Amino acid sequence: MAYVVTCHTAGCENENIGIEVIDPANTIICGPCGVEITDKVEVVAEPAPKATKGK
Amino acid sequence: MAGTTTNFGFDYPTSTDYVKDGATAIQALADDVDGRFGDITTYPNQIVNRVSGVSRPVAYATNVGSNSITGSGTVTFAAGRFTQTPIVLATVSSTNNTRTSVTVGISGTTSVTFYVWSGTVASTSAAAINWQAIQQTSAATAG
Repeated sequence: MAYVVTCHTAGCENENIGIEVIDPANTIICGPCGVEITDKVEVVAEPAPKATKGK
Repeated sequence: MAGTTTNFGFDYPTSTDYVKDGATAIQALADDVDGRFGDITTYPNQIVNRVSGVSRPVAYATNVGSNSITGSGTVTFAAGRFTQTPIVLATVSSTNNTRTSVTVGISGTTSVTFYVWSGTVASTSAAAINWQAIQQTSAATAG
């Protein structure tokens, strides 16, 4: 289960950049600024496209 | 070719040199710079520190941090820093020695998870974790 986490700390190198995290664990910390990230969005895998019949 | 730069000894012409020798002077300077950058055939996409004729590659990408973690926590790397999963090294910075160790869990190109321990029990107190992530070459983690 993957999550996209986003740091919103002003001036942070990762500010407003979505980063995919495989293991969200208990706490997610932004490495560059050290602030805990609370903006976590679970990534839902897109369903595989259905096969279509050719004409 | 009367002068050399202070730090790297790159050759340069002086104002009294002949203009007809300009191409030769520029080539000499270009060769100096090219030689200083080292063997980028062996170490593509990397800065190479060439000293005494030996090329020593600088790591392709690194990220270093110090974060406070209680029990466990996932730390994100600087966005876009790594193209391969880096090797991560970590230590606990503790003045009272109650948080005795840190282990590195799942790691990827974007983040790493740390676990802090007091003996064999997960720590319930915050501990400062100093860490370094290294991707040695553009194509591989180690090198």
